[in-house]
Amino acid sequence: MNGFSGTLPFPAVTGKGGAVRTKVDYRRTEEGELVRRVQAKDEMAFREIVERYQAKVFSIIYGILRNRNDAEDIAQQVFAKIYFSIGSFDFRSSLLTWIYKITVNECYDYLRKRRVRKLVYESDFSEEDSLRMENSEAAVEQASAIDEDLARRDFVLKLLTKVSEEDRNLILLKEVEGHSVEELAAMTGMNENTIKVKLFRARQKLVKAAQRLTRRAPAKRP
Amino acid sequence: MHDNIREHLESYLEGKCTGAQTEMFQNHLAGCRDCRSLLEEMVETSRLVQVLKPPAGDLEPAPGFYGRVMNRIEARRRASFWDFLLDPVFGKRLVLASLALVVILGSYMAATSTDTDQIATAPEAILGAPHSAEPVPSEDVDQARDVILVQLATYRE
Repeated sequence: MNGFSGTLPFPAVTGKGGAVRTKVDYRRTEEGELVRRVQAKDEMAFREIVERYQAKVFSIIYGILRNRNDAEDIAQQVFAKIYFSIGSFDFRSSLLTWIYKITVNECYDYLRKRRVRKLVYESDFSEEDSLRMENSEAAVEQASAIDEDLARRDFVLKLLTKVSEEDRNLILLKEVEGHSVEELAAMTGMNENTIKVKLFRARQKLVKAAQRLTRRAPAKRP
Repeated sequence: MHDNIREHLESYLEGKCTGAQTEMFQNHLAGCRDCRSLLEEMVETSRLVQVLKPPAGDLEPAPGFYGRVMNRIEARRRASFWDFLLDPVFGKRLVLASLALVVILGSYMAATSTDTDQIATAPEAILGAPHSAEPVPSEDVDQARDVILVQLATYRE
C-alpha cells in the first residue's frame, strides 16, 4: 500500500475476528483536534494541515494528471478549498477521506474544464485544418507506444466519470491507494459489509461502463 | 454473481483469500460461467484503474508551497465580496425577497385602488361611457367666444 498509512495512523480497529467494525469518533482523534483548531481560525493549525498533507495531495493529483504544473496549481486550489470549507467538516469521516474527496473532485473539475476548452479550441478549426493536423508528423508520432499509456489513462478517467462521486472515491482509495476494506471502513465511518456492497456495485457499474465505452469506440479500449 | 463469490470478492482481488476460500472460488468458477466472466471483467477494470497510481513515494510540491496557498487564499478573500453577489444561495434569497416584495406591493395596491380610478382606454369604452353630467358654466362659454372673436378680428394672413 502506498500512501496514507505511512504518515497517517488509522484509528485502532475494534471488533472481534475482523468482523464488522465499530465507528470511529473522529472528534477525539489527533486530526480531529487539529480540525477544531482550524475551525477556531488558528492559522498555525492550518499550516500544520498543509504541511502534513501537501505531499499526499500532490501525489494524488500527479497520479491522475501526470503534470507537475497542473498538480501544483490544483494542490493550491485544494488547500484553499479546505481553508474555506473546513467549517462544514462534520467529523463523519476522517479528515484524510474528506481531503481525498476534495482532491479527486478538483481533478475532475479541472479535466471537465480542460475538455470544454479543447472543444472550443477545436471548433475554431476548419475541416481542412483538422485533416492537415491529423496527417501531420506530430499526429503520426502521437500513435506511438508512449501514447498508449495516455490512451489507457484517458479511458480510465472517462470510465470513472460514469460512476457516482462516492463510488469513484471508494474505487480509487481501494485500487490506487491500496486500502483494505477494513481501512476503508475506518476512514469512512461505514461498516465493512457496507463497504463491500458499495465496492461490488461500483465494480459492476465500471464493468458495464467499460463495455459501453468499448462498444462505442472499439479501437480505443486499452 | 453468486453470494459466496461476492462475499469474498474483495479478499480475492486483494490476493488475501485463505486456502479454503481459494478452493471454493476455483470450484465455483469452474462450473459457473456468469461468475467467471464477471470476475474476469472486474479483475480487468481493477487492473486498469491502477494506472492512476502515482510513482512510488509521495511527491513534494516545490518549496514555499504554504506561502503560495496563503496567497491564493488572500486573493479569494479579496474577490469574495463579488462572489457573495454571485453566490447561488444569496441569489435564491434575493429572488425570494423580490417575490415577497412584489406580492406585498401588489396586495397593497389592490387594496387601495378603487373602480373610479380606472381610466377607460379602449375606444368602445370611451364612446360607451356616459357624458359628464356636470354642465359647462355659461361664463366660461362666453369668455371663450369673446377670445375667438378677438382672434378672428385681428387675424392677418
